Amino acid sequence: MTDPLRELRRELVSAASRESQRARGAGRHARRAASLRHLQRRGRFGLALVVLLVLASATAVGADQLFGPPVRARVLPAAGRPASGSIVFAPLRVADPAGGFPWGLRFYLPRQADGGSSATNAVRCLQYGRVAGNTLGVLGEDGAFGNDGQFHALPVERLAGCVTGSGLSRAEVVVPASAFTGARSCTVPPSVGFEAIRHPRELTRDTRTSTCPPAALRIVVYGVSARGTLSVRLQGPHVTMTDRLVPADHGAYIFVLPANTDMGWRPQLKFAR
Amino acid sequence: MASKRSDAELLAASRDDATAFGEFYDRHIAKVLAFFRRRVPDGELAMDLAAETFAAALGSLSRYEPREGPPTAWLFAIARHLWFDALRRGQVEDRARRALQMQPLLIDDEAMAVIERVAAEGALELLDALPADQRDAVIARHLDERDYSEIAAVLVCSESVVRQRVSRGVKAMRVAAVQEQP
Repeated sequence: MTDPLRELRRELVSAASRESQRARGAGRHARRAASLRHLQRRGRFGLALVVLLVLASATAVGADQLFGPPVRARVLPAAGRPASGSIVFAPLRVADPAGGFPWGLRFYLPRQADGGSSATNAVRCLQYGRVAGNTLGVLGEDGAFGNDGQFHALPVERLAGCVTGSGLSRAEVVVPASAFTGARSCTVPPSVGFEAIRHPRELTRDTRTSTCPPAALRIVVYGVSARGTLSVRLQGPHVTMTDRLVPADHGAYIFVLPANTDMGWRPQLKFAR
Repeated sequence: MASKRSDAELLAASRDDATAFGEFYDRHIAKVLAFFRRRVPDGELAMDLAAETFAAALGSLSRYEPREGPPTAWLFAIARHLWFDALRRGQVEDRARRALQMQPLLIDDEAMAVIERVAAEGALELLDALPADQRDAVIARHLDERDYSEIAAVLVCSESVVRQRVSRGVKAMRVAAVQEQP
């Protein structure tokens, strides 16, 4: 049962808790500053310690600024829940056309009603996004997360889509470069992309989002190839890209193109085994 | 379980105790939601404004001064300010929620139903404040949708008396809604 009032209450209490901790932290910071002033007066050793503490503090602040809160998980339809132990985070990483965090994907086998997993390769659920370290996530830009510029971890419950097929699948989407299509992210204009299936916007109250500028759009081609595939090549009139796969990728591949590419074509995928 | 602390005590405690603000929210969300629901065309916008109101209240806790009035007056002053601001801009701001790093709420059909129900409950509180004869008449006419003649028969009075009670009751609710002094 969706209850936005409870959700709001949770958000408010969490925010109140953060504010309270921040206020206490500010108090501690003031006390620490006073203590550091005392150390400074005690000579060179004190000064060196001050420098170390300031550096440590700056590092902590930098990390806070880089990583924001995770994306909220959503209740998945029963068929989409991952079977136990089936989640695979492919080690494959591909660069974004504009740089920054690379793209990657993970997939899992959906759980069956009896609690087991689906037949091998029959249905796989895939989730793509930007990658920081070993975490799949999205970026706070293009309108998402108040443009905070931070990386937000993506829970597996926030599914991208499931594909069917025996051993081979392919999906194409046009999405913001942030990889986030939820609340407040910019809207993908309908004219962009080659015969691509646009990622449907998640249902939100927010109808006041702006249209994504072309530079903020990406075409993502991804899927799972047959077992034993060594490389996947994407070919078009103006572009050739190759994913070299390792066994740990389990055949998963992903290509990310700028959406301002000439879209009078549809890429061909060639699989080498 | 709800405590017996006053609103002012809850706000004062909220600076160190996050659950106190949750309790303050529980007490007033229905009224704030009803306040906006009567002023905007749909429940989503009402929820949007209500969320921003509580976020703004949380963000300005340190500026709340009990000597300047009861907490509900302060809360509804924030609500009114946000409503006027939304009218002027043509959109609902989310500045307070962003400042607190709150996640956007996802509103689907089920959520909409909850919003409408709670907003209606908030509106029914105005009905409860009416004198019994006016409340009965308003409920019979506007909620049960009965004819004046039928209501007159049930209440054992003339049709004109029923009309008068309904009219006075609705007028009193309208005035209370505008003043919004819960």
